Amino acid sequence: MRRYAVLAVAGALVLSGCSSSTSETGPSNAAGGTATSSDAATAKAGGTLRLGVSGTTGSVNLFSGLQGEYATFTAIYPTLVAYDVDTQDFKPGFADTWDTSPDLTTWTFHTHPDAKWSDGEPLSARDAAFTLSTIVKFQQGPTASYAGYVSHLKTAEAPDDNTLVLQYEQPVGNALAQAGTVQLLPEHVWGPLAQADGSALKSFPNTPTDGKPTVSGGPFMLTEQKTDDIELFARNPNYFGTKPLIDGFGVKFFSNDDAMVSALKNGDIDAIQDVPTTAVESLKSAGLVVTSQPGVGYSGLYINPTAQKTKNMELLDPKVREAFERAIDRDQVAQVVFLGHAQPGASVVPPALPKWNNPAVTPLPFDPGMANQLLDQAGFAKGGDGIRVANGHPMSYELLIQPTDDTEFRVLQTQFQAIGVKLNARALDPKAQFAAISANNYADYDLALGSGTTGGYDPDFGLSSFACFALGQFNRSGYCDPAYDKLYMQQSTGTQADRQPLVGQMQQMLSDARVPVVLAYPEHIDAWSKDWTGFKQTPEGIFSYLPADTLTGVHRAG
Amino acid sequence: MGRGRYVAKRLGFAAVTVFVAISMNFVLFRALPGGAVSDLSRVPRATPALQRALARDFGLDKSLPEQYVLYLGRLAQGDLGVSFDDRQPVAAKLRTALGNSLPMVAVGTLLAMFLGVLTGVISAWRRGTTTDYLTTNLAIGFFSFPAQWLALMLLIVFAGVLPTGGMADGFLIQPSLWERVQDQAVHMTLPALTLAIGLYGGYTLIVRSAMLDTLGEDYILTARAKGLPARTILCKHALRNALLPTTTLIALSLGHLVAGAILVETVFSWPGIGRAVYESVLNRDYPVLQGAFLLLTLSVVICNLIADLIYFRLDPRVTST
Repeated sequence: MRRYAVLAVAGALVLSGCSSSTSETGPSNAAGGTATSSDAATAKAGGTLRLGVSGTTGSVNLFSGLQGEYATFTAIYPTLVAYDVDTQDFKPGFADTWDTSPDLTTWTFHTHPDAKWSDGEPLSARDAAFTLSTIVKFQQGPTASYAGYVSHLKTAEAPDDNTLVLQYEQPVGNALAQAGTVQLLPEHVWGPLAQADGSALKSFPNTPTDGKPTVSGGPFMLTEQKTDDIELFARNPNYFGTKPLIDGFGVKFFSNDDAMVSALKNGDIDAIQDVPTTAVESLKSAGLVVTSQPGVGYSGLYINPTAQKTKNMELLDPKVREAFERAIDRDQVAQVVFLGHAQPGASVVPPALPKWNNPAVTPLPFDPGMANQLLDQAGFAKGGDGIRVANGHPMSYELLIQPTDDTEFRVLQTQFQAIGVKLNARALDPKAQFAAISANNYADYDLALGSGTTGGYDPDFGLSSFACFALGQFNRSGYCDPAYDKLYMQQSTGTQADRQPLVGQMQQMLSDARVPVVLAYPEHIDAWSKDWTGFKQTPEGIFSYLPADTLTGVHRAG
Repeated sequence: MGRGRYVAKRLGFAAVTVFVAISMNFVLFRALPGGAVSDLSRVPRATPALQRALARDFGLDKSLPEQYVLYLGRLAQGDLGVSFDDRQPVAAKLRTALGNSLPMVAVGTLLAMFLGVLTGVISAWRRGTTTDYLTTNLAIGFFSFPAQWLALMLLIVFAGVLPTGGMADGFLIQPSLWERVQDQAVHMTLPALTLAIGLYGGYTLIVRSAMLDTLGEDYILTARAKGLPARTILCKHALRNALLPTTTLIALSLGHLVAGAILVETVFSWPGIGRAVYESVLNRDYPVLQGAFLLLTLSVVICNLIADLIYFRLDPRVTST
């Protein structure tokens, strides 16, 4: 007989007295409201959603550092604020309300009263203060993976159970996007680990043990994790917000997209996120719901901008860089590479984020004639083989790509051929590609293909990847301009209104420097069985690190 | 050469091989471009502090000779270290992955052995006939298929009929033993079949070749002249003598059981040791890679040692060489 594991775990918890007395679908706090729990949906509540994702399991410890399960953290831990998918604005999370001092150095959060962790222990502002203080305390070591969320945070204190006060060293305008979205941890579990040098914070597995789920405060509890295979979640009966309609969900990890798509068609799973564009039509034909929406990522061509380049110096010439951009037919890239599931690109902050996208950043039109003219003017005449010669050598360049970029390379290769420039691909896995880009202080590489993302609804992280301080770590271009860094630091201290023009200016700087030449904005595509409905899509998928209650309203259709 | 000296020599070779492999494991993965902490673009809001902290934690801030000495020291104490990915002990991770790989790879290998030996013998016995022609060409074809291509073809052909990912339905609870066996058998079918088809060709060709050598011997002619039945000649005289190269092949195959099948496990999302290796290469998780390849080395060396010792039993001429 087929039954679902999470049902049993949820049932066991209810029987063991872990459930709260509040109604599972009724209004429970200002955070969730009742918008998703219509009567019809409530009638279809229950069941287990089986979700397929690409990739593999990672650590469920926030501080492990390399390959964390960020979507899992978001499912099982509360955050002070959450994202409203429709408005892209912040909405209450564990904090019902918040306010800030006029100078933006003090942020006060009023947290939801009488909340509980999944094990019945009280969940209060003190847990929030503990989490943020611990990250600050050990940010040079064990908690370094979350240091970026607490920039300039001096203290996090809870004067009472329902108030959290964050004191910053300097004005901080994006505290909601940073500290506000940190997953809050139960002090009664993590407190003993935050002793001495804090090294126990990293080695703690945080996995379900002895049949007991990981102590959770979010909408779900993690009940089982099998390495490289599956994770199971059950509804958290003590969740302070609007409780999910489903009893739970499972995430099956696939290392092959074809197998994942096939599993959805077979009915082995109910939904997948990150549908490969090649599978869209076949999934639609199979009667599945396939939805796409503009993503917050982009695909870009990086032309090495670093002055320390030692060869092919013509690539630093603004006219050559302009010619390269004019040689690119972005529509063709969107149609051929992404099969129409992308929009032609321009800025590193896509229009999917209207609050932050700078509409003045527009791509140069596709004009191979003008591109040829620019290269002719630069004195780079075509040789007998049709390839131009620059400074005594053929304009033939190595383009660093990842194996999945092969089609994109071929499209660009053809387009560049029309202006007498030869591209040769060197395919490398992501780590090796980064090593090749950053080798010799970014002096060696000529061109690279890569994808980037804003890192959510706030472009702060995406923009930081072009800063000098990110060189050698997550700066994939080698771009380093002190003026850009100054703007970056400046934008982090203002309100949204203060930040918007600065963020717009930074986008323009990157566009002018052609770092990168943004080729396309791929759409984010998810698919699910018609037996299910109520999904909320974020630009990063239905199971993402963005706290947005994407699965709360999911229920059986029909 | 006496038996004792022979065994001692083989053991000595095995020990040296293992030590060299241990050292190569250390060097090879670090020679890969890109390090474990060199690219933090997958960590939201990474900071320079994180890179320094991780390098310190993983001991990557030390010089290579220092890292090598530490690695050998830990290994001498049986400590394979902790995974860079989730900071859990490598030994436990590998134990779980190995437990997942072995049944699937064993089924595939045994199936290939059985079919390969059978068709190899038939092909040799019916040399020059249509059966031989078909069997040999089929074997060469299967032997030439890249495993990942074959896996994808099977995945496409059997989509909707057999499960295409994972080793079990993770949503089943409290299944009966029969349900569990049934579920795992169904999930195992495609990966085991892919593996079997890939190995089958090699077995057939080797067994056929060995059988042909043997069938050309004078004692086979004598047996025929004596009027012995074909079955007796085949099984008692030819096959037993053709077993030497087959033994080597089987020993090597058994050794590779431990490695799982990296490509097959990746295509079918099988959570075994092959997939663990694949993910660890992508993440430059040196401790897991070192541990996995140590395991692989040991299994191959031990199986080869066993093959050598079996040779000793099977063929008395071995002692005089």
